[in-house]
Amino acid sequence: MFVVVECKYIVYNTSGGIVPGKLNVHLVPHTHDDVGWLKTVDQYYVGSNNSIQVACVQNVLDSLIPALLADKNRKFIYVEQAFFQRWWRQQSEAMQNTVRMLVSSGQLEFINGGMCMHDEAATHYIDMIDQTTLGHRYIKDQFNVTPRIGWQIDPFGHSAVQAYLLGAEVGFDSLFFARIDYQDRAKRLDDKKLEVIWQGSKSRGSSSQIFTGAFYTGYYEPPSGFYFEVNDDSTVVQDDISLFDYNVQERVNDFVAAALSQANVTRSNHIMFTMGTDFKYQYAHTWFRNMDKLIHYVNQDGRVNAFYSTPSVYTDAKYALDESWPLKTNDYFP
Amino acid sequence: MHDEATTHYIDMIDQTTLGHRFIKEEFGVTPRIGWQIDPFGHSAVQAYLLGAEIGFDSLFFGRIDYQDRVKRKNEKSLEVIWQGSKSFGSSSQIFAGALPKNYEPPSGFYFEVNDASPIVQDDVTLFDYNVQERVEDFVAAALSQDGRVNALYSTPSIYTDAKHATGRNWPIKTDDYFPWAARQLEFFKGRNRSGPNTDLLGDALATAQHHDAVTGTEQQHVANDYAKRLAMGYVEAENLAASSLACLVEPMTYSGCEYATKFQQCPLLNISYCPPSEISLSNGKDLVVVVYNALGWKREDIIRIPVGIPVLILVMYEDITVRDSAGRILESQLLPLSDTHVSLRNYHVKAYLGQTPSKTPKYWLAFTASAPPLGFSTYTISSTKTRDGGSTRSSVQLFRRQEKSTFEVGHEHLKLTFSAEEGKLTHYVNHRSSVNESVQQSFSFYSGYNGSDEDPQSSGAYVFRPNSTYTIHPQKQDVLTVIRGPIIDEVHQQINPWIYQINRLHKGKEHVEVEFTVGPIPINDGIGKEVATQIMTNLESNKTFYTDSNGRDFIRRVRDYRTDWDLKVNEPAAGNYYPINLGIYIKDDKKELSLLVDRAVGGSSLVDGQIELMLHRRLLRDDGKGVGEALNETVCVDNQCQGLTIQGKYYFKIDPVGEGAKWRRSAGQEIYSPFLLAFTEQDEGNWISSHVSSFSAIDSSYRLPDNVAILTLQELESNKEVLLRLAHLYEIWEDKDLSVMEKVELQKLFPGKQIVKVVETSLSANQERSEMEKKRLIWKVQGSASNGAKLSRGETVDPSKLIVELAPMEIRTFVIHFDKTLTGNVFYA
Repeated sequence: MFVVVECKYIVYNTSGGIVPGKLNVHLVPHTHDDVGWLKTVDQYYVGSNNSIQVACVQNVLDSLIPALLADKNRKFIYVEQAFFQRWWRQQSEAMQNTVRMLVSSGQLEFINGGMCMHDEAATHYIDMIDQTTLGHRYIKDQFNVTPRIGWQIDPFGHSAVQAYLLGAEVGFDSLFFARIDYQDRAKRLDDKKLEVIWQGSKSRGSSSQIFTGAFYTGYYEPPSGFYFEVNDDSTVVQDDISLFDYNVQERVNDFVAAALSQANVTRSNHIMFTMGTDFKYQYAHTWFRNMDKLIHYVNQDGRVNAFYSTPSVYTDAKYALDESWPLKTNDYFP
Repeated sequence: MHDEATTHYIDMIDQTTLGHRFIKEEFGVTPRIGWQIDPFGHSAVQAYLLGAEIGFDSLFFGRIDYQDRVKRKNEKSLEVIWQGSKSFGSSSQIFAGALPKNYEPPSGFYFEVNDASPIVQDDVTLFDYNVQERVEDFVAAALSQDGRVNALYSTPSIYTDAKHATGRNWPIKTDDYFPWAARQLEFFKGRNRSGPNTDLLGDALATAQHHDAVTGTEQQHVANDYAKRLAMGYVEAENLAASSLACLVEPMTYSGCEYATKFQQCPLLNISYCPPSEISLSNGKDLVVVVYNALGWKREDIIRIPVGIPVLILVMYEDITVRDSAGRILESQLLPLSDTHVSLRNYHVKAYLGQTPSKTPKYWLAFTASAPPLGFSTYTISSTKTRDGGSTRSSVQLFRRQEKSTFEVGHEHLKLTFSAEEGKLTHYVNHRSSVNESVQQSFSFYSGYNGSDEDPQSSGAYVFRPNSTYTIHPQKQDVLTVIRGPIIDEVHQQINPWIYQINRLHKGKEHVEVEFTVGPIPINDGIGKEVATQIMTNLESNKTFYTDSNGRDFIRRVRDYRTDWDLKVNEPAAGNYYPINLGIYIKDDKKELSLLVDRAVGGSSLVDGQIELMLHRRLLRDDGKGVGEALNETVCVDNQCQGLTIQGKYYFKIDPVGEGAKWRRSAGQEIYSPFLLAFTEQDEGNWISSHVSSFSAIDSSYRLPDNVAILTLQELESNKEVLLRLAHLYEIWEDKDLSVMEKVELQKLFPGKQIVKVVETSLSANQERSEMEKKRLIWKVQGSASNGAKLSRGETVDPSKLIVELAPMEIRTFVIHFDKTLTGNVFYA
């Protein structure tokens, strides 16, 4: 029996940006790399002790660079400097130059930028400042850039000090996180108040406020069914018509449905899909391959507008709308 | 890779042809090697037809009968010349290699993204650096195959050519490799080895701020790794502090520092273990204590160190004296070391250091030390025959529970009254501020919810989910031990077999220090426990309490209420627990009760007038949030492990309403930055006379205002550039005197240095403040944008005046450049 599969090269159009009249879906590729959790910080970096958890930060950064080079529209954010610095010091000059280029073009953006994503409940503000400074100064020194966005997606509960001190006073333009009380989230979903202006300090008031977004699912993961790690079981986009499981229309429909349900609880026509989770992009290509296809086919479909983005791009888009946002004071505890 | 058992040879040929033609067309090459590594059993047709006749130079496969393999291994006949066809014989033979085990790497050499083999860790800073070990494993694996070791990237073609080039003869194989049988493979797990590491404390601390580190939601081995990193960083910082101090105590010379003095510190002072202070004082040998104050204002605090006193001194009524930098004798007190402290000390020294300390000190020595801003002072401790001026021995008094009596402890203004009968604190009186309040203190535990089919959420590292709560009643046969003296009064109490508590009052201080020792929490009843303590007063706090935000702002909390939505109260205790890093307070229209902590804990006010703190947790279930372990920490001696015992302190004070903030802010800074103690010895007073005994890094006429703290003073470039962070400690409206714009004179902070430039930066010091403000996006808020307060910030620093203004809660960060030609002696904390 002969099955000769007739495939051809497809150019995926990933060049789109914001389209004013449409629902804009910002795809934000990211990885969340705990500097120690089930494994130690060394073990996570080098990828040892994989029987406990399959996680190797070196794989993430190694595979990320060629994936970004393959298409200049692809973007990525990296957060934990404790890992990034290790990796950076091990790179050749040529690789460092490549990465500098990716950083200066905005394809690779440092977000949060502290050594780790600090906790907000059990930490002292001086320690929070110190660890952030350590990371920020290194980034400034090596890349001459300053992170613009706070990205506290995993800590449980969020402190006022994070908002006004480690947010506004650090010079961040916005702050994002995932975990707030479920009742609070339910109310904010109803009221479309997930995105607010947070004045964390009554002493500093509006002079230290920050635009703040809580993710609508309470997680920092992609919409369900859009996980594309090398060993994930989400349905990949199969756009070769000779495949039995050709599924472009189906996946586009899923994507649009996920976008609309998020848009229902979000102010304005900009929403963010956080494309990644813990220790993902160990083989970055699987994510980008599928997102390339989604962007291409979703935009062909035309109901919503999808493109590679970062929290900075997202924040700028929200800002450009020139709208008023609900006010939030105090903090997000317990 | 077709099967060889169930396939027709035509199909085998067809499918091979299809592939080979494509390769030829696209690349102009022809495959040279047969690679049938996965099929079970191997056919003669494969060898001669799909091997030799296709033009393959060799054929490799993995699966042959296990007994066949054993034999071939013994005889070194895994690699053969296979003549699959009787008909074609040697004209259609092929070099065929059966792989020694399977088609996988030697065990322990699997390097897929999700494999578990020990990877090669060749960075010497990694704890698990393992190059030699992996090389040995590699060599061992190679030797078990053919005895030569020279590793290279290769292909089966190259391998085949190499084999061929040896010109050797190979065993003959005819027929095929059927049927097929196998047995289970065994895997081995690599051992880890520690390597050197150069991480700094800063890195370790930064990493430990991670939200799975400081929170305790990591796995136990990861917690151990953090502890190891912190300990290593601490040792490095300790050495740095010791050499910096050694430098500063040397008289100023032009040649620089000699580092002559070897200072020692006591990281295990919390378990009453301090070898440098426990030396025998006799024959003119004195203990020298250098007390360093990292705060920007002068400060007095009580030093408490274990001291070794030769029995002789005790018998002969000789005594111990403490002298300050100027040689004046200070009041001091000797307090007996309780049995609880001794056993805690012995057990944990053995657990941490591997051996039980040979001697046990019998006394704590206590005295009041004071040190200048960002500086140190020196104290000498010696034995003496003088009867006056020696240490006062504490009086010790026991009160049994059946006695119907009350007693009072305290020095000047603050007095606590205890009821011997009830075995507890009953009253708090401050005669200076005229605060008189009934205070009761109690312990309880929450039993951890273990989860059920209907409601599976257990209490664990992430989730505080109590089942019910139980009061811990003090034991009936309990004795209150009261220790009194001129510096410290203490009331000791064994609450139950695993809770010990000391209420401590210090001369010159108007707060109560409570030291708790909790653990091992018993779990033989199969119930995890979360141990809490409560302080109960009559304050009408009206459901309201205040907790800090990461040690900075205080946030108003209302029990069973959220400002942002209508709360459904499902967890009456846990739903009202908030994180506490600095403190918690409650108030009514007359008084406020403030409580400060020495570590991050959870706390609440579950009843009006009350403050509750979580002290210790030991749980038996994982809460299913990902860590996969129960929160059940242990400490081990000789592989015998018991539940963790923790010892900590909290501090409380009651003030007239509106006056609590001063103490919360100043004492909060002192708790965060305790005195750093460094010890050395001297004979016949020779050290003190030849060294600098007191020092302040800032101008001697200057001190920081009460409402300002230096958060950071860090050298960026030697003698040229420092990073300085100044913080206003008060919120608006927090204190009637101190919540005001304040000024700091920069030049006074750096005497002897010429400030040439002051650059204000963002908080993380990676951009200029003005640049940041220019870029900042201005957002619009719905409704009223302001809380009505007049918002102010300090003005830009005028380079001719060098005055920094700080508004309430403002933190300002500066990079300060000095004229390099002038050098001063500055100690950076």
